[in-house]
Amino acid sequence: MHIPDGYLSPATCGVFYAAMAPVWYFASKRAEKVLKLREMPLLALGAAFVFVIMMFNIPLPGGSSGHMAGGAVVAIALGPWAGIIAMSLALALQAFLFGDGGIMTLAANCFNMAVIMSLSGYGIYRALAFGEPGAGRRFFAAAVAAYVAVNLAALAVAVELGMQPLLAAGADGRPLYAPYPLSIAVPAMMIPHLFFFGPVEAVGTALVVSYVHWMDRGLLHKGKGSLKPLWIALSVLAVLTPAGLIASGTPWGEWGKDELMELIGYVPAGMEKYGETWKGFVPDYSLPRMSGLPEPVIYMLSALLGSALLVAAVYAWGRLWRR
Amino acid sequence: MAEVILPEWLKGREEAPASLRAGSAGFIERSLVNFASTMKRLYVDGDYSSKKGALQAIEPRAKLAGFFFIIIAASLAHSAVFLGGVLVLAFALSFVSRIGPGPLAKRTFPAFVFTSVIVIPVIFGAVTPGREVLDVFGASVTGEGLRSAGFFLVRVAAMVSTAMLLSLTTREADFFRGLGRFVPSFFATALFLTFRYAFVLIKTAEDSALAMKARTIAGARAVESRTWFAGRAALLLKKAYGVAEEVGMAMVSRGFDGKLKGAAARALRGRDYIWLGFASFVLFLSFGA
Repeated sequence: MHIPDGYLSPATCGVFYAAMAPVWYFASKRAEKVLKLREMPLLALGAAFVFVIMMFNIPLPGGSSGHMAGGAVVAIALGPWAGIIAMSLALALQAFLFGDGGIMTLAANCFNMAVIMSLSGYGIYRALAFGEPGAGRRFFAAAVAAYVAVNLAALAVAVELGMQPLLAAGADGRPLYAPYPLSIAVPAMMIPHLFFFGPVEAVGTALVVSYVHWMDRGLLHKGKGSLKPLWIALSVLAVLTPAGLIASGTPWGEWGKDELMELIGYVPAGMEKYGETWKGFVPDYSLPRMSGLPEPVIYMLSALLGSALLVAAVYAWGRLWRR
Repeated sequence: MAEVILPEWLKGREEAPASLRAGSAGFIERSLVNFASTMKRLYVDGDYSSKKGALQAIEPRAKLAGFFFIIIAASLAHSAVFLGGVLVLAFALSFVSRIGPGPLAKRTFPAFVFTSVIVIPVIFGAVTPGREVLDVFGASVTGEGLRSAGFFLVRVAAMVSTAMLLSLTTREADFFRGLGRFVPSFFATALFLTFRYAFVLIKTAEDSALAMKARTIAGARAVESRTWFAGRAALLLKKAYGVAEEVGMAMVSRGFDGKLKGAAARALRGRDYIWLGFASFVLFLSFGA
């Protein structure tokens, strides 16, 4: 379920980084409030736990075996907020050091496996295992929670991949990123998850939760606190993310004069006067008084100038604010 | 030294009956392979990152920023030629880093093979209509499909090989130190702790699996195998809590008050600026590629 680099467009990756930044911030603050000073080692060890759990092969009835993603089990064990952070840490470690999942797609992977799996897995488990459940109901609750959670995450991955041909295509209509439309991506992703990876996740999570409860129930999250902010955050993300994914045209606030005229019927006087005054050092990547040079050469010179400016800025920053 | 004489019954290699070997015994071996390969990879990668190569000598902040620029460039590019250039660049950099193309290709290979398999349907006319260039058992392969599939493969190979080169040429401690300059130190430190203690838990899991394998003469029943897995997972969780408690207390006893202070980074040198300039040059080139 880890989306590698190159499968999602930079715009999609940007949307997910923008969506995940407040989630990571809020989840870390929430975890900090609940877990106090113990928070960091516990989150790190929780992440290490889920990292190792993903390596186990789980035997299924029928003789086959597979890996679990671990989002639901870590949320049930540590709580939803700590689960999001722990799962994000495990995914970051896999992406940076092992190449499992991309660096550009890290936020999208965290959204699918840390946010969707943790929140839905934890919420469904709490709803089904209310009160004082017996061993059977607890096993059932954990299995259903993990099964639904992994399939929701798989559906999110399928939608993200399936939307790429709509979002980015070359001049000849050729897809630039994941090439399959929704009509292919959704069944291709969902069929194996509904019939194989879902049962693996369900069996693995239910076994671990039941065994941990039997061995030492104090290790499982107690379920204190309201889940209301969690559902509000998820609802907002659910509404905003597809909107960001399918949005086309100029980003909000970056309109040109023509677009403004079309949008509101007039161009503000200040913008009319000053808006086009500054055209940048290299307007439209064309260096002045060099029009005689071939276009690729001008382009490379523009890139050289840009990189030289960037290095100068880094140098100045390093000198002025050396840490 | 007295000669060791093995009894005859120990010399033979009698296989367990197939009915006992099937299914449940294999999952322990597969888990063991996963644990062992992860440990081995971490140690081998450590060898590459401590070689005296050009990329290894770059300051971690500059190296991370430069690699991010190149990865973003490969993500933005619309030209197969540019992406091919990034791929060639990654392999060229593997030479100057004294790693060589072999280990880099080995790390890139799984993502490349995975993408190659899933991209196969794209080449057929049913998915990508266009001019037929080949007929495979009645299914037409189109030129447009081949171009789409090839372009996608080159992009994935370029991005994954660049990310792998970053991983191979950076010591973990440097990596986390560099990362701590770009993301809140809470996450960088937690990530470092995760990395450090993942070793401890992997070793525990490996020992458990090895002990189970040593005790299993034929094969365990599926129910016993699942109980074993649940028990090991519960043990790992208990151990994680225990270690977290100890690490937390050790941190508090050394003055940790919830705020993290990183060590001062060294100033950037000439080679760091050259690397940053080169990587940003690649990024700027990608804007129109």
